[in-house]
Amino acid sequence: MLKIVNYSKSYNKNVYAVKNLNLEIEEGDLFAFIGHNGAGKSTTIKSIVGILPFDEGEIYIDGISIKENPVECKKRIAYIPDNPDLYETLTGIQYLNFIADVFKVSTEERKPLIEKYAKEFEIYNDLNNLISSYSHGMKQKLAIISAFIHKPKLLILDEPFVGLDPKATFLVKQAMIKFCEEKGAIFFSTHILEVAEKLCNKIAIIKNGKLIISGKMEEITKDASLEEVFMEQLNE
Amino acid sequence: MSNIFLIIKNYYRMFLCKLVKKKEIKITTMIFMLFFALFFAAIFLTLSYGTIQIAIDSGDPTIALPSFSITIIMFSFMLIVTESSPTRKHTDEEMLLCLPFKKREIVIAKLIYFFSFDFIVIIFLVLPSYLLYNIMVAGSSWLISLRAFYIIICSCLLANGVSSLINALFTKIAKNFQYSEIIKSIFSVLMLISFLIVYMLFIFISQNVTKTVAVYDFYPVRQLTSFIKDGLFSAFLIITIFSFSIFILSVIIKAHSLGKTINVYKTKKLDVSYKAKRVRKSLFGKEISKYFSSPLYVTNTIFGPLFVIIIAIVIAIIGKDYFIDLIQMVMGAGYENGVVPSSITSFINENFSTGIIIIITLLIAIAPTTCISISYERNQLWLLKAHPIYYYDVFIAKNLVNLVVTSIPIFISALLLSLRLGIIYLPFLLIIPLLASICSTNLGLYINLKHPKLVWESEQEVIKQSASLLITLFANLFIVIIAIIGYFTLNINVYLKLTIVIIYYLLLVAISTLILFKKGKLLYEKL
Repeated sequence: MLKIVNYSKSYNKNVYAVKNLNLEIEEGDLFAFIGHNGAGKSTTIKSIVGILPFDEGEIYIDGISIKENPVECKKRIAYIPDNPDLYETLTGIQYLNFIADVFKVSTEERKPLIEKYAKEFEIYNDLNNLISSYSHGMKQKLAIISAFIHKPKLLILDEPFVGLDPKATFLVKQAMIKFCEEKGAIFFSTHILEVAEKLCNKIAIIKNGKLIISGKMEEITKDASLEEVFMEQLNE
Repeated sequence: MSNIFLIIKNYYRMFLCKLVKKKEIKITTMIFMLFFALFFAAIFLTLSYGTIQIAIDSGDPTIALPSFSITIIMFSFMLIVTESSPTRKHTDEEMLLCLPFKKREIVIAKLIYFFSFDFIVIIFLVLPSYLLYNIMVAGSSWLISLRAFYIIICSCLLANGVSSLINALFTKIAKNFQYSEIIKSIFSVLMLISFLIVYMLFIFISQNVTKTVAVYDFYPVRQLTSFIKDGLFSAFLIITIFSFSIFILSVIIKAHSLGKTINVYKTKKLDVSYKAKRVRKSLFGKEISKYFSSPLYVTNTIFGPLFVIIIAIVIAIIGKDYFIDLIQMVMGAGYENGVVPSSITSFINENFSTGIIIIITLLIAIAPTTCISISYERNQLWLLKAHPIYYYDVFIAKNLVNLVVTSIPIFISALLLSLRLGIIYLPFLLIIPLLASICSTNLGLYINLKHPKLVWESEQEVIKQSASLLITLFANLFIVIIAIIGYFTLNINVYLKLTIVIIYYLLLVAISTLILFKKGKLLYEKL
């Protein structure tokens, strides 16, 4: 579903934010991408979704290169950034309709999905209000709903639980599990190691732009906790 | 007080850091700024020279001073209009409120910083007139210039205060509506129209000697002149109390509302519309809503198109000949005896229709909405880049906003003007400004892609002070100047010359479209 081959990205000609990254995410994978602040997680994610161009390597989504055919790749993914800056001059429903229009989701298809998720996340009654009147958590919920309404194959989430209330966090986790059970794949970054440990079947740890460990959760953690593994890798 | 200086110092430091960040931008920006400043200063000085000369010839040089007072009042009025546009919350507000600063210190620092730019402009344009007066009028006191300097400070404070009060009023009224930002934009446009009407009225009144005397006797003009000319203490007191008290009142009100959430309107409407639209239509809707939700963006880009409509209405009402008289009267101020030479009079008469087309083209094309539309995306750019949206759909949606803003005034003005200039001019009045608008739209977007400013603290930075805006202004001015030179160099029939201008713009449209969709694409991908 997602294949990253020798990916490198530098902001400065000699200093690499990420160097030689290789990863592969398959159908049904719930993949956590972990690292310290400034490790290169968001840079990698932004390149995967086509926001940041990169220097070397290739990123394939469903076998299609993001460099060669970015729009086709983007049709297959949904991305939720860590800080959802949405169009504040639109109402919640106008924003969801905008995203649905971009993905060419018909009126009949979008209606039940929006209703279902908006009611679950308890923002249905606010859909006619401007996004500028929303709290951070409400914006995050809206961004999550927009990610589900076009039935993507791959979900890319950057710190998805930041700003969410406990109920919304629970709902997002349930939705993530269900999404992967239905042959979707999720690649997400997080600092909450307990969540990653409980939810994911695969994990990668990045340190100073270099991948230091990657693989199945049980093979990496063995008898230790993910936190212990992470601290050990970080201190090496 | 030290906190105010600290915040201001920090703002200027940030401003300078941004200025020197990219050397090539710094140089081009400086050149453009200097060019515009000198150009306008030269115009003002020429007009002032004429006014002073006429006053000297009449035997009473001091009659030039009320004219300068009116200029200060007009500038203050313009400042009130442009600064009344409510701006969004500055991104540094919450950070500053967390620090050990008093609210009023933050407000004063912000006001002084942002108004220092306007103050410099007014000083640069108005003060030289007084200095020229001191040079030309033998024995005149240099205190006149010094007092004029004080008046300019007071007028800036007053304009600042009044605009802040209007701004607060706008915000208070608009917050009762869901689309409050759009309502604020409408208020701002109405303010702009009122300024343009007053400006045109002033030109009309200036033509009539009796009415001009009445304007000179207008209370604020009289007070300003009395203080500048004679240093009248009562006038000084009135001006000082009036301007400072309004400024202080505005600071108190601004400090009171600082950090508060403005838009709290919540609708109770529950019926939700899920209607699907085509991508391009949806993008255009989002662009339009974004544009009209920023009063500052609207007022700074709609000025030209609005002025075009007003000029067209004035010409349609008063007729071509009377309008020519007005132009000659304004130009007359630049000549020693106040009379325009006959060679220039006949030139204006012969080329009036072409001149109107040039003015309309310039006003329509000078500041397209697109030259800041990429910068205005700021943190929301990810929405365009992370979704399956083709670059050309983004470009078309952004371009369409400017074309919508300009095309309506073009059609209205073409229809009105053709009634007075002759129906033969209708195609030229329509096609030339329309092509110029398309060309400037493309150019503006390309320049903004080349010089994006995606990180900014306040709307003013991107809408009024960005490099892409200045470069676009200069480029559009250059394009029109080339057309004018070409037009007057050719010694053929007028209609043929105008047809050649159409071909020139057609070529520019083709080239700018090609550059935008080829090179602009690469720049967009790198953003």
